[in-house]
Amino acid sequence: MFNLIKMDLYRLVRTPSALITAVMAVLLAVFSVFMTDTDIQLMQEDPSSVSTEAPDERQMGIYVEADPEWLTGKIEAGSIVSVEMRSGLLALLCVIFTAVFVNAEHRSGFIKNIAGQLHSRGKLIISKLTAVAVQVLFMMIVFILTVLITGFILWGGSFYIGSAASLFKFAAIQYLLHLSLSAMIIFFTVLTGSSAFSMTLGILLCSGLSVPVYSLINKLVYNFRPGLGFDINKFLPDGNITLTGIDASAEVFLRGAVSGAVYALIFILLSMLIMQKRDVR
Amino acid sequence: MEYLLTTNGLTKQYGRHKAVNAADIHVKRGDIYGLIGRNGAGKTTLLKMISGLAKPTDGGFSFFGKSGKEVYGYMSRIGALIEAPGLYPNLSAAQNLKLKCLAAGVRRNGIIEELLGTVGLASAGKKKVRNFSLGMKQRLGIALALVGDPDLIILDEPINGLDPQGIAEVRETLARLNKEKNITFIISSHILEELSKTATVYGIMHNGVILQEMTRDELLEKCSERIELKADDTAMACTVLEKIGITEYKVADADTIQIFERLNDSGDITSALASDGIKTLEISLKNESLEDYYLNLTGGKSDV
Repeated sequence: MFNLIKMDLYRLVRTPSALITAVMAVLLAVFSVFMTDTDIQLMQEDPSSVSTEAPDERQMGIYVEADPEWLTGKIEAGSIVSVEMRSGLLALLCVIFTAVFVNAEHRSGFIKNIAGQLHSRGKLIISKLTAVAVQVLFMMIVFILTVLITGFILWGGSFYIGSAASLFKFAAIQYLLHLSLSAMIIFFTVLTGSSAFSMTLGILLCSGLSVPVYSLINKLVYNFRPGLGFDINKFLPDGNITLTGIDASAEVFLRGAVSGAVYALIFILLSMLIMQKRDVR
Repeated sequence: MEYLLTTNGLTKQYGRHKAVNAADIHVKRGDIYGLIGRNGAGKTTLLKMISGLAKPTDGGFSFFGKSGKEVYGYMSRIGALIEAPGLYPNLSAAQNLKLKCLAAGVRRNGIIEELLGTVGLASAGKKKVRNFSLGMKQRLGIALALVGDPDLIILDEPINGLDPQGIAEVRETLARLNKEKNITFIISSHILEELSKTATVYGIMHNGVILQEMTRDELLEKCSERIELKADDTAMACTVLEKIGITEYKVADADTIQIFERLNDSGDITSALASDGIKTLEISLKNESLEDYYLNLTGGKSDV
């Protein structure tokens, strides 16, 4: 097992996709913070455009919502990191990296060199997940640091760190959710043998293009059980990435942590089962 | 007899189609086992099952005398190059080997350089695989199969797409490894002429079935130049042959005698038989190549 993990970590630091997605994380973070700054300036110029009410439901598309409190001149690091991460930009990169990295072993045929010698081929999934977990953590750190540095450059004295503990707690839950999304991509990549399919699926989920489907499911459940207040977004990794902000309640944090852990576990176990049962092509 | 590898009714079924049907092969240590068969005969599927990449639908195999679940502990003693070499194009040859070494837990210093040298790629270790020729990729694939000093190496069509020089290099490498390290090889190919230069034992596969296994000597005997004689009384014909001084002959079946000497004396033989009242039904000079032998056995002429 440790040998396989070493193998995948060795490949991780040499694969171009790891470097490209990390660089993209930096660029997207800079771009997104600049766009947020533009939003703040527009709101300052036209205060009537400021919406004080958060939307009830998850919206379609990738968007960063500026907090009206930022108009007071003080911008907390945690809140800007929160909105940038909840936008799904980092999740998008995690999805792309995972699909490319996991499928490379099948696409190149390298798996044929090692799979036959393993008693349990499912271990290959654990080693992939470990490498993906390292890369997701690296991208998240790079993303957060870039947001903080760009924020400090743009807003100087108005930008303050705030509660490091809250930021750490938020980042930990988001890390778990991003990892569960990656686990889902591992599953679909292993299932279909196609990085194109899993990547497209992941991008659609991160872009919120699944929202109409989720709304339909919510309406169907509402028709049967109106009092339930069911929202499928609360039970899916992509939904929780969007809904779990730094100021969320303890209940939301707990739900995010539990759903992240449960999905990661389920998808990894399913992937291991497929890898173990299916012949290597 | 102690075999390194034997298969016992190994079967792989896809839907109703049996790609491999109760295949039994027997490989001794030090053999270069040539698995012969046309495209679609089931060679790759058989080799995939032996190398642990595909699960048999039925049957099994024993390796080092171990079978069933016990065999898993010995799978690391098998190196395989199935179909095209599986290589990361963006990594160098040395990095590809390093990955396999890490996975196999091989930590010996200098092993990568040694393996590259073994397959004649010593100077190409830092070159990215995407810039390799097909022959170089094939040799790197063999180097990957050699990681961990396996006792058995399975090579599926290792000379496919190679130019004559590449084929000669691969052949030379295999012969050297077999001789110097006593590595046993199973090599599949549909290029029979080439396989006949390397293999010491042959298994002929057709439509998923192993039709015949034989050593090189047995094959040479079957393919050697000879007179094939069919007479109405085989026993009497043998007596006549001995009377005229022919001793190198064999009764192949109830009607056929194979004569391996005085190949230009067909006329004398028929005269001698006639004078003793034995009727010659058929007499012909035979000289089969491995390909002819294969075609006769499988009853086909195409795509071999």
